[in-house]
Amino acid sequence: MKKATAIVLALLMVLSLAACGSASSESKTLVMATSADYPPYEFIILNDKNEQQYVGIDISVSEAIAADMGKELQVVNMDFDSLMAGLQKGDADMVLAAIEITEERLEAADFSDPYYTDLPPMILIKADKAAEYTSLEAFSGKSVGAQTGTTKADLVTSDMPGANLVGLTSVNDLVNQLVYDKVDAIVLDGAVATQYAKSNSDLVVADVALGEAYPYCVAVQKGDPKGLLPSINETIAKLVADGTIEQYIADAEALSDQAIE
Amino acid sequence: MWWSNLFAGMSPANFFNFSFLPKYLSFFVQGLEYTLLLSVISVGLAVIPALALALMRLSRSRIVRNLSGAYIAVFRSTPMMVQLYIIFYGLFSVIRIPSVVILGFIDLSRFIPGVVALALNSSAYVAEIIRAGILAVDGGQNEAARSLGLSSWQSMKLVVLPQAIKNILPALANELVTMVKESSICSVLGMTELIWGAKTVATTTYKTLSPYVLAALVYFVINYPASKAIEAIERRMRRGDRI
Repeated sequence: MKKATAIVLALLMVLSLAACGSASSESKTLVMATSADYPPYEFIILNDKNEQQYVGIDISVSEAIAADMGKELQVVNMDFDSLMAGLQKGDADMVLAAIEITEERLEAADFSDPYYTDLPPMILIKADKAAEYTSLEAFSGKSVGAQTGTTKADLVTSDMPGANLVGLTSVNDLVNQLVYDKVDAIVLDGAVATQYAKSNSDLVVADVALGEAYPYCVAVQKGDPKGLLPSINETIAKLVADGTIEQYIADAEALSDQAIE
Repeated sequence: MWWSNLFAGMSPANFFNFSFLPKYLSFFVQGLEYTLLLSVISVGLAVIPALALALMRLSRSRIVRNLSGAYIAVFRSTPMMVQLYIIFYGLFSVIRIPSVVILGFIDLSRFIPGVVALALNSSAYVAEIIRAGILAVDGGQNEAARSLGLSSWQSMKLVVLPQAIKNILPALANELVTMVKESSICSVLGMTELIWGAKTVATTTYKTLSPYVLAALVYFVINYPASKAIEAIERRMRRGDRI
């Protein structure tokens, strides 16, 4: 009983610390929320010291943004579905998670200038069925997977007539469904689809064009109450102009390749 | 390591392709530590409110009985995942916890909401365990204690509860075994427990199934001996019972 009381008291102390903690640290750190399950944009690796570390294109861009503001970057990891809610709630100052601007998202957040344009979305299929799928019409009556809440899910509905959309939260689950023949095809961002095709010889990218590439932008709270956008746009302009962003992409892809071994 | 060769040449989506292991072992070790801390602290904390709830449930006042009954009904009849969301996004956006990392991998701003949610949920189940334990003590014990001049609280504290503990402990240990598995739901909010570790390794290495299979093996290796041990303790405790 005494121990239990001690634990409760310890928790209370931590809670009371909460009040002081947030006020002083807010100005010095820039909190960036992401969903670190999306190599090469954002993922977790073990560094040389065997510590877990967030890496990827979006992390590098965030570091550059924070450095230009003279702040320290703090990364908060959550599910992709929760990112916009977290931003609105004030858990984060900005969100970088390979996000394209959509009408729905514009209602929830403000966006910076684009920092990177991905390859267009691609359709990933089993290698032995590559000959069957040569046009969008071939997917009629087939089940096609895509991540819920993404522009890829919308593409399946709008551009693949007769296809049944299977919506799942994680890319990982989508790939499992494809490998074990639960769905006939999945639609992913180009760079991600390419990586999965490269790492798994059973899978190939279908030779069918689908949609177009949309640029990725940084999301900040609606109305930008913290006034971050001008500085973010300045950093992005610099990264794009001097080609640093290309270097970030090459670095992230190299790290992802290393992680697979 | 010698055994990593065993898994070479397997498809990335194979159930038993554990070639990620030498490099990513730490995700599973830290994940297991997180899971055990989360479940042990949650069940430990749940015992105190659960005892209060159980006693309220046995109270003579109908209002007190119903209050406790309502709490238990709500937490036992709604999904754990929704409770977790409501407590994490609701309760803990009012109470702000700073992002302090202890032991190198436990972020308190996530760990504490997780513990609170699991403990609140668990207290509803533990309350029922305690209530059943108390009711299983023969009514004559209470009557005898009262007739010796003990107050109702004294007879509960000194006579009934000590005997009830024998009934409660094994069921409580079972609740802990359940919690070790149930706590995996916390991975959806980024608490870095075992399933989160498996998910992270799966996405980073593009090996989409085997990390989960390994996590399942770890859960089994923890839970199976634990439930066997509980059975043994239960048998030992029954030895004093008269037939």
